[in-house]
Amino acid sequence: MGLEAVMPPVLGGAARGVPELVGLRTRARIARFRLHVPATIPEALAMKARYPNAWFMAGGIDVANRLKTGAAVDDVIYLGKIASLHGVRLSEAGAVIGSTVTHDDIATSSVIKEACGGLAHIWGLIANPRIRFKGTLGGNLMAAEPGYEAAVLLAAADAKLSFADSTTATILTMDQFLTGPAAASGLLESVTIPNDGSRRFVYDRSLKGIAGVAVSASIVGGKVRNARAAVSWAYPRPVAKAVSIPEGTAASDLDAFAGDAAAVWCRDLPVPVGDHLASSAYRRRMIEVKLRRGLAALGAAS
Amino acid sequence: MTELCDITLTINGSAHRLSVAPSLVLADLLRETLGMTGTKLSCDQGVCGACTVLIDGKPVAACTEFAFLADGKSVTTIEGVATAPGELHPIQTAFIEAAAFQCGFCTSGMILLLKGLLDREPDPDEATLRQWVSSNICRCTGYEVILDAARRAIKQATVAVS
Repeated sequence: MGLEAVMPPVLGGAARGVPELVGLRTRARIARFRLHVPATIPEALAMKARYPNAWFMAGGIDVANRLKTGAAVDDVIYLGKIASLHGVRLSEAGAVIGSTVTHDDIATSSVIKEACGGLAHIWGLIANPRIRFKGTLGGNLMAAEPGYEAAVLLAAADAKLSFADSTTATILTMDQFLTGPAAASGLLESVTIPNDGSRRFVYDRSLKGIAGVAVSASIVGGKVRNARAAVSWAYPRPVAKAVSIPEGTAASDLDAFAGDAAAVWCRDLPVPVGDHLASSAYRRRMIEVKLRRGLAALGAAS
Repeated sequence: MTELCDITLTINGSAHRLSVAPSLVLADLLRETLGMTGTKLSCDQGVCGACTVLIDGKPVAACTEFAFLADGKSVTTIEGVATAPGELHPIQTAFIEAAAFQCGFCTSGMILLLKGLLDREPDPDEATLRQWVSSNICRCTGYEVILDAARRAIKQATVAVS
C-alpha cells in the first residue's frame, strides 16, 4: 500500500492542522492571518491596542519565516504604508533612519555615506542582496536574532532608538535596548546614529556564527576619542561597551595600544555561548583577537 | 481589517488584478495560481535564491514574499526575461555560451539575480560580482562557469554601449 500524498491548500496557506508530511520550515505551514494596514503611527498603535497579540511587519522576511515554522498569529499590522517611518535624514543629533528603511537604502544613502564614515560600505555587505532589498532596519533590530547585524553595528555606533507608544515617545540607548526587556514596548520609529562626521567604523563579521566584532571611534585632529566595540553571535544579544584608549592617543599609534585595549575590554565580558559552532573559550579568544585587529584597522584607515 | 487583499500587479508586462489571502506567498501565486513554474522552489526558507524574482527591478525571494506586498509593483520572472519572443536576453545567451548550468534548478534564480545586478550596475567589480553570485546556491557547477557567463554578459553589454 503506497503513501498518500497530502498537499496542503495553496491559496491562503495551510489550515492550522498541518499535514504531517511537510518540512519543518515551509510556506505550507503559514496559517491565515488578518492584515491591518495603518497609514499613520497613531493608527498602528490603536490597532496594536485593539489586537495586543498582533505582530508588526515591515519587510516581512522574519514574519514569513516564523510563520513557516508553524508559529501562528491572528493579526499582522503592516507598517509599509506609514510615510513617517521611511527615509534617512541628517539632524543635529546625527543621521536619523526610519525603522522601515531597507538595508540597501542605508547602504546607498548619501547621508550615511557622508555622516558615518565606513558604515554605509559595511551595511552594504549585510546578508545578501535579496535580504538587503527587503529587510528593514526595524525588522532586523526587533527580530533580535543573535546573528542579525544591525544591533551590533548600532551598538558600536552608540545609536539611540526612538519608540512611540500611545502616550509618549521613548528614547533608548542601544545599551538600554540590548539589556532591557526582550520585547521593547511601543513601535520603533527611528534610529539615530550620533555623528559629527568624525566617527569611523570597522566590522569583522562572522560568516560561521562564531563572533562578529564592530569597532568605532571618533577621530578628531588625528586623535582617538570615544572608542566603542560590540560583539555579536557570542551572546543572545550583542554586548557593547566603551574601549579604553589613553587620552590623546593618535590614530596612527592605535596599533600599539590595540592589544592591551582589547585585553582590558574582554576582561569582564560575560561568558560567551558554547555550542556546536564553537566553544565558549574559542569565542572568548576570537573576540579579543578580532577586537585587537579592529582597533589596529581603525587606526590604519584613519 | 482585511480577510482578502485586492491587489493589482504587473507580471512580465501584463497587468493582473487578483484577490488574495494575506498569507499567500508570491511563489505560490506565480506557480500555482498563474501556472508560471519557471520560478523554482528549493529551500523554502529564503536562503538558496532559486525562487529569485525581480520586484521593481530588485531581486527578492518569492518564497518569503507575501503576495500582497507586490501590489502596485512590477514583477519580472524568468518567463519575462527574454527581450522578445524567440530572442533571449543577453544574460540567458551568455549562460548558454558558457554552459553555465548542469541540473538547471538554480539557473532561473541566478539569471534574475544577475539581471538585477547588471541593470543597477552594468560593470560591477569582481568583488561585487562574486558577492552577489555567492548569495544564490548552486550545488552543481562550482560557480566558475556562472561567473564566466556573468563576465560575458557584462563584456557584451559594455561592447554594445561603446
